[in-house]
Amino acid sequence: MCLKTFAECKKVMLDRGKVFLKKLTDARNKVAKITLPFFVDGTNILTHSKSRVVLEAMKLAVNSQKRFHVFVSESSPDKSGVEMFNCLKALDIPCTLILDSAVGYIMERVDMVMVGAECVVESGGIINKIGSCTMAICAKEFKKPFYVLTESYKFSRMYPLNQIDLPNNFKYNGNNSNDDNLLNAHPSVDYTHPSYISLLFTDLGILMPSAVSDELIKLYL
Amino acid sequence: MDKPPIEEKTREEVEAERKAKRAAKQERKKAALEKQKPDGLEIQKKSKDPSTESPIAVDLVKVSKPKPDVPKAAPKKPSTQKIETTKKVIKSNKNKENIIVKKVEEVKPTAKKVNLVNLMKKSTGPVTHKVKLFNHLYIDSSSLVTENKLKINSGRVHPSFIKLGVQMQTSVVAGSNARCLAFLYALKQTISDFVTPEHKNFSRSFEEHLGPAIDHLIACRPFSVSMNNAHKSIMSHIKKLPHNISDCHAKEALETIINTYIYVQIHMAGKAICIAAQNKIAKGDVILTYGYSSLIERILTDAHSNNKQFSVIVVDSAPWYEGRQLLHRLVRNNIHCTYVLLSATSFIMTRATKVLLGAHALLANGYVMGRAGSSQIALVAKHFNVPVLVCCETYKFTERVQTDSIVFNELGNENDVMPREQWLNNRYLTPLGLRYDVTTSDLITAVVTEIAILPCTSVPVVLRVRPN
Repeated sequence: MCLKTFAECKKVMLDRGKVFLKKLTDARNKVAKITLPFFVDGTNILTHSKSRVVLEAMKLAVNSQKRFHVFVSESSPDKSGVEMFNCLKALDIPCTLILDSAVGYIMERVDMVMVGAECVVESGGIINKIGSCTMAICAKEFKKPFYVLTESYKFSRMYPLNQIDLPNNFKYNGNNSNDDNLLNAHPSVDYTHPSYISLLFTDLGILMPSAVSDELIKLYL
Repeated sequence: MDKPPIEEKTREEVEAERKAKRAAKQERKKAALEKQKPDGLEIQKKSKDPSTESPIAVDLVKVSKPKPDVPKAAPKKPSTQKIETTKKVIKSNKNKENIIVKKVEEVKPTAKKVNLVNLMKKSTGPVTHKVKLFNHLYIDSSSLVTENKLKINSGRVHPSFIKLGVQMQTSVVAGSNARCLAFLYALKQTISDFVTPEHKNFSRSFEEHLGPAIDHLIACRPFSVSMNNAHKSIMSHIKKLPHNISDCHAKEALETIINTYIYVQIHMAGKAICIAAQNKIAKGDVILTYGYSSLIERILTDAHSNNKQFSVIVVDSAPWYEGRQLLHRLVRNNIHCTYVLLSATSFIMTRATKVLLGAHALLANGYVMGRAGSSQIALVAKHFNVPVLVCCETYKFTERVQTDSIVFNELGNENDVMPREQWLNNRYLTPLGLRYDVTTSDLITAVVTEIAILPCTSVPVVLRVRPN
């Protein structure tokens, strides 16, 4: 494209930015909409940490007169689960705050697990707030579906093999990344293997974990 | 044998016939099995004194002697008639076990007759040892040899292909990549020596010219997936050549096409995989690998020269001990290695942090076809939670779907499995040397390709996206 002045260029960039931003905000609503049928009256849902997509989906569900109960884990160390709990209370959604260590205890009472994701990797697994992996393994053992709600722009072309293989700048924030051995540092995220994930709700539709790589190949090749 | 029951056959015909058909099928199978036995016994008889022989063998020879001049087609008819009579026996008889015994007894002499006459036609050929489950994989070597001689002497097969055929048959050229490269080089030579006949166009006459050469090569050893893909790709290019192209230009064009194929699909892809795989090798890793793969060797030596700190466990297995080749080359590069055999996998796996495997081919359902034994390694690795990385260029991806190692496989030389003299005259012993096995996709953590590191379920997507 041929642009004459810098101002023109700036305008185009800003417009594109706005379009992109709109796409992103729309994505969240889209995810909420396709998740709606999965909220069956009387279900108990377990969620971890704070996720705006999950919150949006629950908001839409409660506005559509769905009755359900949410269990929120505290999500140490930053207690983002408490924040989520408060948000849910403000929306008049019946909810309970549980300890991170009570995930195994509560699992038999819930019907499904719903979490957000910081990043969806090529394998179809997710990188999310520490504790998600525990919850996923627990859900798998109890045969409860583990749903991930995420926008498709979080898909990333990386392929961690296991927790050690996650890049350090993902796991640790700036304060303790100077620590030489990082032994005393607490990682803030973990990697959940795709075999523990039942479905991914994205703005592209409801995907199996294996479809993530297909979407990425389509995007990059 | 039992004559009276035959008269009772006026029963419910339909039901009986069905039974009989089933039984006849079994019969035929048994007869086929019997085929091998007399041959073996004959040879035994020649070499040893008659005292050690079983009575059947003696019987055989007796039967065979009075009928050497039976016309070739004739023996088959009596045998089928016999089977008919056995059918009738079965109809009437309820006791199945008894029937089978009788059948066997009855069929034996007929089968023997057929066989012995056949034997006389062929003179004394080698004993055929075949595992029933893998019957479809055996190639009739005796007819092959004569056929090959005919082909080679006809002058229709380019010498480079004849040479390659021998190299492949004797496993001088082995390994998916090496075979594909050798094939492409032979193809290049054939192209450069080819002269278009007058009033014909290049691409068509070359295709015709290449046909016997390819057949010869397949007869020497079946094509690997890599060779198949390369062949298909080059042929599609040849078909696209303009009709009126001159020999000189066509040759030039094809040479560049083949060279780019080698460069892009094999060399550069290998390089990209090297880089991607190296990123996955962390400090202090213990990498377990199995057998020999040129790609794995390249990755490990490259990683070592880039100052990655790791050690290697080379797992190897009989009968080919290909791992020794890898071991030799790694040690020469001052890489710390441990060498164990496949039987020690579960013991050594506790020490490994990553498993790197080469592949023969990746199938469309995400399964990995690799050197026999790879699936064991992957299974044990899965059990110990060790990530399994399969390194494979995308030109080895295939649309074929396979869930077991039986339907399509290749048989190695039985003599490698066990010395020939130990099994040749033993009709109860059949060695089996399978070359490949299939690993299920859930045992594989990731596939390292030149495109990216992918889950192996993405093979169909790559196939769809890939040009051609």
